[in-house]
Amino acid sequence: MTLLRAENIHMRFGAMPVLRGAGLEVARGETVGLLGPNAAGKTTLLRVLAGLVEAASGTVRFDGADVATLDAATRARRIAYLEQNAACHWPITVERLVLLGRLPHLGPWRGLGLADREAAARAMEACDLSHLATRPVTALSGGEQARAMLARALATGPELILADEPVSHLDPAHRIRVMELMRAHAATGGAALVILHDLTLAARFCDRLVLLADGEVAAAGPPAEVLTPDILAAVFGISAAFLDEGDGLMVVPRARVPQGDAGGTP
Amino acid sequence: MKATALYAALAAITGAAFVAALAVGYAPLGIAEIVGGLFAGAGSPSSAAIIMQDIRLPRALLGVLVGASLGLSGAALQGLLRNPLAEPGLIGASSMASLAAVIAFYFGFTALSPFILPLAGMAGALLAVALLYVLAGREGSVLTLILAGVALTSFAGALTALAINLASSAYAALEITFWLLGSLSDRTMTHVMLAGPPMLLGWALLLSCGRALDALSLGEDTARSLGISLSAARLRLVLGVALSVGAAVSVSGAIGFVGLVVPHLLRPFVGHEPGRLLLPSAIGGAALVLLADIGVRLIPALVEVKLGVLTALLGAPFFLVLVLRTRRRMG
Amino acid sequence: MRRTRHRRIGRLAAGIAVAASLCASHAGAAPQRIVSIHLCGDQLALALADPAQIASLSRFARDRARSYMAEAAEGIPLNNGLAEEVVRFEPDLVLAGALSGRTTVQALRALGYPVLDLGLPASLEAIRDQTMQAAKAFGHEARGRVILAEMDARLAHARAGRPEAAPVALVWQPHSFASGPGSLEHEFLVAAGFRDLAEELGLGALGRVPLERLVRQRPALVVNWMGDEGTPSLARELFDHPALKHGATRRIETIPQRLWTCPGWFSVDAVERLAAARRALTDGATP
Repeated sequence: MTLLRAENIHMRFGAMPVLRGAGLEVARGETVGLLGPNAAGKTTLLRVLAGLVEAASGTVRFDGADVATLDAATRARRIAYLEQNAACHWPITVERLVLLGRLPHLGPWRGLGLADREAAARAMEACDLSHLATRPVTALSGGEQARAMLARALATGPELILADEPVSHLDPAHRIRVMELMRAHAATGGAALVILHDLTLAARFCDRLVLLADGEVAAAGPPAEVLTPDILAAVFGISAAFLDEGDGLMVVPRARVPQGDAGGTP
Repeated sequence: MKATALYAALAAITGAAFVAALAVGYAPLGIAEIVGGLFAGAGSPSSAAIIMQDIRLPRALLGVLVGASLGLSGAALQGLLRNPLAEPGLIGASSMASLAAVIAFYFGFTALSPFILPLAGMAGALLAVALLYVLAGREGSVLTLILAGVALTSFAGALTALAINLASSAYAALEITFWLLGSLSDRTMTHVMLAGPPMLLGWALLLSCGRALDALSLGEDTARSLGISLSAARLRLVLGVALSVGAAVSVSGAIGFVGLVVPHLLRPFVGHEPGRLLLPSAIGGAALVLLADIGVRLIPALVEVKLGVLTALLGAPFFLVLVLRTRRRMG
Repeated sequence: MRRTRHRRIGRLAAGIAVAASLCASHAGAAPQRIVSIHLCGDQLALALADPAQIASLSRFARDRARSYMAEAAEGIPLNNGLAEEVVRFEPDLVLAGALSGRTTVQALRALGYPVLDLGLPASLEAIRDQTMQAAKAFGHEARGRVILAEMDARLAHARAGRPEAAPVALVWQPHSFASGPGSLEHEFLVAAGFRDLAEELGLGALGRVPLERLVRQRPALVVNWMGDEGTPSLARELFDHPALKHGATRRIETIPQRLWTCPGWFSVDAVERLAAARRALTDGATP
């Protein structure tokens, strides 16, 4: 069942087109990876999907409704957005940071309640942060901070998580941990759309991949169909080693190849 | 529970400072005279009644109003700009408000209506905060903010110097200069009535922005993704600062650094959360200005040391330390 | 070339003449092109010199709020007190004062113009001295004696009928300044038949009486010496303070700016105003 459907999104910054008819679908239960070279328009597309910017043209429908017409509180409760290099400007504690994820649930005159604290506690537990609850978030390591930001998004209890490079500063174990959390979220009836640069991570943890190049979707589908030598050469200009030991595809970039030359090595 | 303790402590300090502000003055009054004078019927001819009701009470009330406005505005601006160095005085809001008030006063506009003075102050502060937001608001960089503040302050300073230059007499020029230093001495209940309502309205606007400021600590995109309407929050913050600082400056002149020092001292007690910092900063600001205003009355000098001079003497070194610390963190 | 030189010599000669007249106090060649760059000089020139002797007056000379002799100044060219304007008038006597730019005075002296530097008199005696100094410099010593005699007569009249228990008064200014013994204001208060609160509090020429102490002491009269009629000022706001209206004093008297900006023989007007206020206070008290 489709949760998010974007069609024919166009967007330009000044005279420069950033998105040229991009579109994608995310179904409930799915973890979808959004890949693409730098400046392909991934972040812009994610912000359009999150309703943070309005596209010049095209439609974004969330659960059948136009995302632009959703009221801000409803949208905030149902879609969580995890900013790239998310950081906190003040040294507030991890617990209070995670509780910020409950803001969309608070009425104008209603403060934090038991349900909010429980949701935050669950999110911290899931992200392995409980022991850091009272530490100032600015004193954490990069990996811990990234997990705290994810916990903040999870605490909201959203249906869809839109995450912009949530693993880029993490060590391998935490990368896997974050992707597992995304999958766990999808498994409980939600969905996640995650911008990634790590091809192996994308191949192993995503149900489907969308490959963006120059503001257009260059390829979309299951990892094995998207991460092919030809497509990697055309879109990223690389050759790669492909390895499948039976528990999922591994893709290791090997060398740069002249762009457009379909010269992948098997 | 920790919050309750903080509020109780701040309220106790402010309450004590308020009582002390009523008890301290140039005419030595006994406790009986202070209490009797304060609660004497209106129009009582006793000098204790005149001193308490016409001189000390408005001065203490304005201390609370002006201090709370400055402390709250400082905390709100710091939250909005995500910058611990933002302060109504440093970003030019106070100097623009002073300029507008000076122009309104000396060019005779206040003769048209007594409301012109606070209105002018608010207009000046509004212009400053709006300009600052355009110049430095979005990226939240310390450097741009301070530079924009310096630019605005120098601009307002230049125009104020022009007003002094064009003042009708050397005496008027002297008056402007003294007024700019900031003081609460010999203000009246009329000042409380004129400037009080806009300040209270400004506080309401600022206090309503707590959650927006909390969300903003995660950046603008994340704040909006949490359902916060940034444009509405910004408008409320800018208007709130303009109303409270503008009205405060129009009765007291510019009293600097209160909005810098108070939020900084209180931030650790509220877990550095910008939303929870607002109300304590208002109460703390009131306490600081009341205490400073008691201080200027106790310092023996031929001329009363101006309140703004005292807060600047205390606040400027504080600012320097804060700049050094911020630079270390950024570097 | 030659003409300039002649002029310069002429100017020097005039300067020497004035210096001589100032020192030796006998009228030499009276100056014929007096330029005043200061309000105080304006008053003295207008009162003591012939109109034909005056080449130019300061830009405030015709300002009725500040210049006592404003009416007499009509038709005389004004200047902004800058050296280059003054030079244009080729003066044989320049009148400068306490508030004239020091650099301007130095420049004029360096160019060889005789400058009479007038201070702000801080006593009746200083007013007498300055009046006579100017009268001699203008070559009209007799006129000086006449207006001073008139001043003394009016002072004597103001002093008349002083009650045994003189009411207490305070000359008060913004920032809580009060004028006490050693100031012209004090002398005027006493001349008008008041006791000076500043003196009773042991203050000097410039002391401090905060509003609260004023309320405590309750002087019968508070004098707004810095009163600025018409133009808005904090001073005026201060004298509207409810504490003063609610019984801290019985009367507030404002001394017009033209009487105190440049005190002179005419400032006796202020004494007369104060004496009238004193009579109103004591008369009001007896019935």
